[in-house]
Amino acid sequence: MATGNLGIRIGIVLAALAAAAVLVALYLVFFVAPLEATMGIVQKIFYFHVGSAINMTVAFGVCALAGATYLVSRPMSARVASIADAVGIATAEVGVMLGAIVMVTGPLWAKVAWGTYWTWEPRLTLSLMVFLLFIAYLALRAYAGTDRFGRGVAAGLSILGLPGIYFIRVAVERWGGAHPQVVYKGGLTHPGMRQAFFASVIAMLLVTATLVLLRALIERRRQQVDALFLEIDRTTG
Amino acid sequence: MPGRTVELRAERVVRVAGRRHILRDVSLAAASGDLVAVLGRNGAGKTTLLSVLAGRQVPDGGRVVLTIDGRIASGTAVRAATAMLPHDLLIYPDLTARENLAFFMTLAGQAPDAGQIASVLDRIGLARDADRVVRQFSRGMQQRAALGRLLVSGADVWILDEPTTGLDEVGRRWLLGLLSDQVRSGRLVLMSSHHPSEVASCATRTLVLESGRVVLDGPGGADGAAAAFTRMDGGAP
Amino acid sequence: MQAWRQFVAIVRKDLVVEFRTREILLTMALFSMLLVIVFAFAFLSDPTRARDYGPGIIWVTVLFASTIGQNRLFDRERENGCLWSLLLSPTGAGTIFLAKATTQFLFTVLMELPTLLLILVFFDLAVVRPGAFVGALLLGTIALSLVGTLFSAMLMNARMKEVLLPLVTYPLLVPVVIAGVKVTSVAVGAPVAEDPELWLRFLLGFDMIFAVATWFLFGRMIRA
Repeated sequence: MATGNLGIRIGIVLAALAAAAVLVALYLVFFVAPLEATMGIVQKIFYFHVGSAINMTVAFGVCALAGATYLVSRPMSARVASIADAVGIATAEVGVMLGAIVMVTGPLWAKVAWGTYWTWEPRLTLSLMVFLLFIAYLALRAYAGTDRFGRGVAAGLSILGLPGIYFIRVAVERWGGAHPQVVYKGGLTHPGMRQAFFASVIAMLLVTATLVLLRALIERRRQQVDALFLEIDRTTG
Repeated sequence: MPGRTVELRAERVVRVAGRRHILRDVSLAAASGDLVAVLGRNGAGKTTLLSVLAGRQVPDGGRVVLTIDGRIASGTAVRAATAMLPHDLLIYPDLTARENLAFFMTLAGQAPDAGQIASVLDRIGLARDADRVVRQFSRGMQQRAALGRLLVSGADVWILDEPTTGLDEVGRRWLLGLLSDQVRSGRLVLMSSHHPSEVASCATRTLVLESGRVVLDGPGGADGAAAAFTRMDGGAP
Repeated sequence: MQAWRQFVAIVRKDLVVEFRTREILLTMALFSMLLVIVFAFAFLSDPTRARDYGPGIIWVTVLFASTIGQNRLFDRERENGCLWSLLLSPTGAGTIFLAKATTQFLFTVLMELPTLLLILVFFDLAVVRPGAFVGALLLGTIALSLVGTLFSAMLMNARMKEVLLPLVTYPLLVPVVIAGVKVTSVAVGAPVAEDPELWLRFLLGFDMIFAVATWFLFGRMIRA
């Protein structure tokens, strides 16, 4: 139980840091970074949009790492496998949340920037695919079996997702070669904008880390409750 | 393979489904020359125990160890030494009996030998129907065809889940005789059953499962069978 | 050598059963032909633009038909629990996987032949670069077979597997479809500025990496 309390303490510290970072980011975004000349206030969506997209990709990387750890450790250490599994489900669920933010803010921003809600712009397309992979991961966990088998299948998908995302990235970049990509770079000419951008990415990273940690702790608790029920069943049944 | 001594050991094997135990700390050891009858009422865990011993299910706790001539086997060697006849038979319904046997001989790592296959077909009483697809067989004939898979596999350990299902009285006696022959030629046979007569006539040991626990590990023969069934009768209403 | 014999035995077994029942090829071929006809009605209002639509239609048809084939191929292993007769035998999991993927590849290629002929005729397409045309289809079909076989084996007993299989495999296969459409466009002479060799190399790279990854993962995923 000691580790559980330590995890919660780290979670509280992380949550406080995340809250502070979000406040700083909001301040920089709205009071320091200048208004973009043509897009006006709408351009500020960009800071959270990109922050979420970057962290979603990071979350997928962690999810794949957890999946690999789960599959490798499963025959050897139940404890390591359980922890890896908890991290896997936590990153996937938080990743879907980040993906939802990306998919809502992206079109809003694009409508003002490009005059259309959706373009098959490479980064947006890539984000959509990572989002879909996360959804597929959760669907596998829910329907391929909630037991060891289903967890292993989902872990396998997250591992394949890594080369998958690489190939998707290369393909959509070449495929979408017709679209100009100056927009992202052009958005960060002002040093205040750059500060706000990095602050919001870091703030989103801390928020992501907090949520993943707390969700993983909940999953560990659930595993422990299952173990306790099993212990009761073993001694009384 | 004849001439080898194998020992199959289960050490505190646990298998769970959700928050319930199906097997609770099951330990047993059996060696070449044993015919172990696994008895128990419906839902006692017979099928799960046999599946775990055959490697079809992975234990959630404890382990299964197979030693060949005193050395612990692993991986391919275990699978080569073990063959299982479960309820779902594991034979291809759209292949003929002969094709099934040739296929499984190849899978077991041997070159298909037409002469040996013919003699096995003769032995399981399917010589006349050898070239009909298994789908057209009656349940009892399918059971015999599946038994042929065990005969061509060359496995030292045979694990059979209620193998007399679907056989008529003549077929049942024939099967028990065949299993006794296998045991005499140095194989280890484990079978689940719910017929006292089967156990009395051929088992060298009886094992009674109740709620996933071994509650009796006794001798075979008429006395053992009687004791086992008394235990089952009184154990749970 | 032994692994090779086991590999051949599994592929042969599937071909014998298919020759006997003709279920998979028939459903795949009929479905893809119907798909082509529906596409013809949906897109052929302007025949001069057939070259623009043709490559996309080819790849959508191949993708959908191979998904159907995959579901059916493992229905066969599910009946009587047959996949376990393979997994419990001394045959290596990698060999089993490669054999099933090969069968899937062969079935898809056999389905593609009449379908492609139909598309070429219906849409009046001329293949100006046959090498690239065939190369893209072969490399693409290998990719579909690898990813599809891995997950249809895993989802064999799942509820809703008909929905789950595309949900899981299509995001991974998006690059294959993109590359395939690009090469096929060039191959039928569509006015696009693409280097087909670059995309073919891309497909080859995808195949090699996913062949190793899926082969490695199959046994570890299925023996739970």
